[in-house]
Amino acid sequence: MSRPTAQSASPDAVIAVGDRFEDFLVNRGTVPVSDLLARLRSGDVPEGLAVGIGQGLSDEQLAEIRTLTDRLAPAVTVAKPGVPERAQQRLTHKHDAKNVLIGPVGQTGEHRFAADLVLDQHVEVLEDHLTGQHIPAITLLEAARQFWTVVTEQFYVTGPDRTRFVIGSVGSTFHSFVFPLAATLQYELLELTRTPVGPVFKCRISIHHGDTLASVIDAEYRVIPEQFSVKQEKIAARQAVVAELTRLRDQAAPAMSGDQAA
Amino acid sequence: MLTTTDITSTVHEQINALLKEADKPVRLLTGDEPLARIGLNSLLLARLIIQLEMEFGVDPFEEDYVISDVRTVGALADAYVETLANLAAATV
Repeated sequence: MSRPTAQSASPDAVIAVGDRFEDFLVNRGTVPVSDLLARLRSGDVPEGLAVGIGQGLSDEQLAEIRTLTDRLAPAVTVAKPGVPERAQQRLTHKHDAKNVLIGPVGQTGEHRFAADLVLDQHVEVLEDHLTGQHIPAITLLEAARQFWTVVTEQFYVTGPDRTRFVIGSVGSTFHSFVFPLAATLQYELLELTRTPVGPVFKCRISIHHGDTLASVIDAEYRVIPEQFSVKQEKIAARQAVVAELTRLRDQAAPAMSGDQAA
Repeated sequence: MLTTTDITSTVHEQINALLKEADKPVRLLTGDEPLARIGLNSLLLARLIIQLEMEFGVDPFEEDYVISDVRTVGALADAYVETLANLAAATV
């Protein structure tokens, strides 16, 4: 049996959180994931310990918790919903696994979907710094963007053609803090319009801490066949360069005539 | 060898096909219509240029033309007429 630490005063339940969330880890019952792993590896844990999984854990840490708690069961159990997994990297359009912010997506109704927030503390949108105890809004916005990308690619635009997602608008409201605890995202498709240049989706994503609605993000985005998008960008880029060159020439012209006049 | 009339009528047909697909009003085009006012946004215009590239095998906006300089439907058709004529002359 171990003695409870200042951060895990209740020996029968702890919540593992990424070590970087130092300000949040002052709350009793939370434990830095590295401390928990050290205790699980040594077997230095109280009988009947329930482990909750918060935010900030890497894939390797999640995998190790899964292995160690299996080995120590039934003395140690992982509280529901268990040890989360991350969504397929390819579906979120991220190149680095640590930047995937959500778990696998499940369908909960007609045009309704859900996923867990699964945040690695080294995710790019937290890389610079943390302020206070909560998860910053920009991280939640990126989680929402990944969520609508996965929903769309998994359930609506499933063909082999390469596509690009272009955001038309995003509106967000934040009702309460999201702390590095278990959280879920829900997606509701509000409108789907087919056009000659790809479907346009309007959706509402809500982020929940248990029964508490923490934030709502409304988005409109278009999924464009890549060849249209490439052509559009190419035309616009060439036009922008020509316009800039014209401006530079126009700027230079009076100066030259001025020099000549002098 | 495509004539100017062939090229112009293909451009008009492709514009109207795209407008119809986008649920926008289709009209008999004369060539005088401002390109910015016929209901094609930049994305639809990109698709039109892809369609026309498939028809004619050329994209005048790759090198010779800038889209903002092409003000009317007629000027758009002219861009294809000229590019195809230049291509034909170069291959003679």
